[in-house]
Amino acid sequence: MNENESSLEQLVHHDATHECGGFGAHKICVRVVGVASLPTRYGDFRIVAFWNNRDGKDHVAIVKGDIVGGQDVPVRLHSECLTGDALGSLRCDCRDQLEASLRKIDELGRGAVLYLRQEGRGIGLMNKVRAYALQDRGLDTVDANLALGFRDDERDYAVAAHMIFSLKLRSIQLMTNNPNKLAQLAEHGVQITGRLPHILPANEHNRFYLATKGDRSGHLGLGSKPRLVEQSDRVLVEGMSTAED
Amino acid sequence: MDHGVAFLHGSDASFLAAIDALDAPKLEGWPFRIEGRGVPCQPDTYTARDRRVALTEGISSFAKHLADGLDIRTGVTVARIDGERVFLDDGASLAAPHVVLTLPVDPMAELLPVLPELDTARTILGWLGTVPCLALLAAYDLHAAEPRFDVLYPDDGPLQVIVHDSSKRERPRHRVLVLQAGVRASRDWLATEPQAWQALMLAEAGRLLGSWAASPSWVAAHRWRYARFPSGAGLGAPLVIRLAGGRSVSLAGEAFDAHGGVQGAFLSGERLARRLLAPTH
Ligand SMILES: [Zn+2]
Ligand SMILES: [Zn+2]
Repeated sequence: MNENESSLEQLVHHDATHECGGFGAHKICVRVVGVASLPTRYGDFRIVAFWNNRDGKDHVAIVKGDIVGGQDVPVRLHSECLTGDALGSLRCDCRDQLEASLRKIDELGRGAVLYLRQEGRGIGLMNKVRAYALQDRGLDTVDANLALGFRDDERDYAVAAHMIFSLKLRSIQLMTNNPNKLAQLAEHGVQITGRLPHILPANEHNRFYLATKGDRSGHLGLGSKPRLVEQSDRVLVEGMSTAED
Repeated sequence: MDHGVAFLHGSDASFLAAIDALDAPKLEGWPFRIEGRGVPCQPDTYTARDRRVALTEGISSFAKHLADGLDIRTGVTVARIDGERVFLDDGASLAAPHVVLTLPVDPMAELLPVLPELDTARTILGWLGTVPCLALLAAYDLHAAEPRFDVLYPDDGPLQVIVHDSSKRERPRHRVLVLQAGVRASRDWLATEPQAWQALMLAEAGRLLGSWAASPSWVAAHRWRYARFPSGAGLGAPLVIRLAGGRSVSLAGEAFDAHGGVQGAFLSGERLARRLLAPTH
């Protein structure tokens, strides 16, 4: 048993009786309840399962290397996307983003993806499909997406912040293109020592992001339609020149 | 006495704070005695995280409290809205550059101005619906048997719930039960004569509780064509549609919140207010 295994597993014992005042306005509390190895096509990881006191959604961390008690640990926040992550949907780039972060963390040799079980950033699969239905009809979706509820919610960061504390990460380097994310996590007391820009390698699946605005020949015809931002990060693709628009 | 919502429940801090700010007699934690294997309107009503509060003088005191200080006109029917003015059925009209509709979904769709900017909203409303509820308030002598539940969700049959309303009071003058028919029965009976469905509901109460329950000393019937939004299928947030000339039409209510119910209606209104009052760029 290596050092890392023992320290991650110790968290399960440590957290068995964990109680705290909770994080954020919703007083969210999580506990590490299980740790196991997770060999993936992107490398060998360990998966850490979390219980939480607000709902039945089991958030997980996919961990590489010895990170417990670590400093400057690379961390990526990912919101669950059933259609993209599991079904390989090309309506969004969630799977590309998840794969890129796992590959990057494997390459760095340590880090964690916090996989938050908040489908479509909290709106649920049902309303995400409704939003897709609006896109299919070619309707203007700007306000509709708001109604369907895509959110960048304080509670998501509270969960993530607590997970970071539960993993005893003393400081992190956040893999993000979204400065708001840094600020939100910092407000919950997370020490952020750096930012790793999250850049997707260009490939046939994300080339519609490279297409210039107004290009009507977008991938699968989706490039020209209003799109939902399903992860709270703006996407950066290698070779993309309009990243800062 | 409450024909409809029997108690408030929720977990959101601002919703609970609004309940706490209400100066009216409250019964914290009511209902205490919950029986039956039927399903409440909102399946998560009795989760540990939700706080329950009954208002012994009626739930309407909560709405009145929230409306305190607002200029409210009752007894007026809105006939039509065109995005600029609100037309009343007495022929008068009001200038209304910003309109917020918080009606049940079906009448909301009927009142929505016919404007191309509102096509998306109309499409979304077409995905939502409202369910009816027939309710019967039945009062009995205090000699009548005293049910040992505060709320009963029958295992089967046409009634969704029987609320033992008088158990909210320390010294009730009558034994009061509120019978609410389930969605299917409510829909089936909606077009029939009230006497017919009242008799069916009382007979069912008699079958469930004993023959005494079938013969109350008096009853009051209530037919809600648009009683509530089916829980759990709501949108994530209220909808604001900006029109030309800085005008807007907004939609809110329990259908515009992921969890629905009274708390959902409250939260959607609060969110909408924040968006409308936020300075625009
Ligand atoms: Zn905690
Ligand atoms: Zn996605």
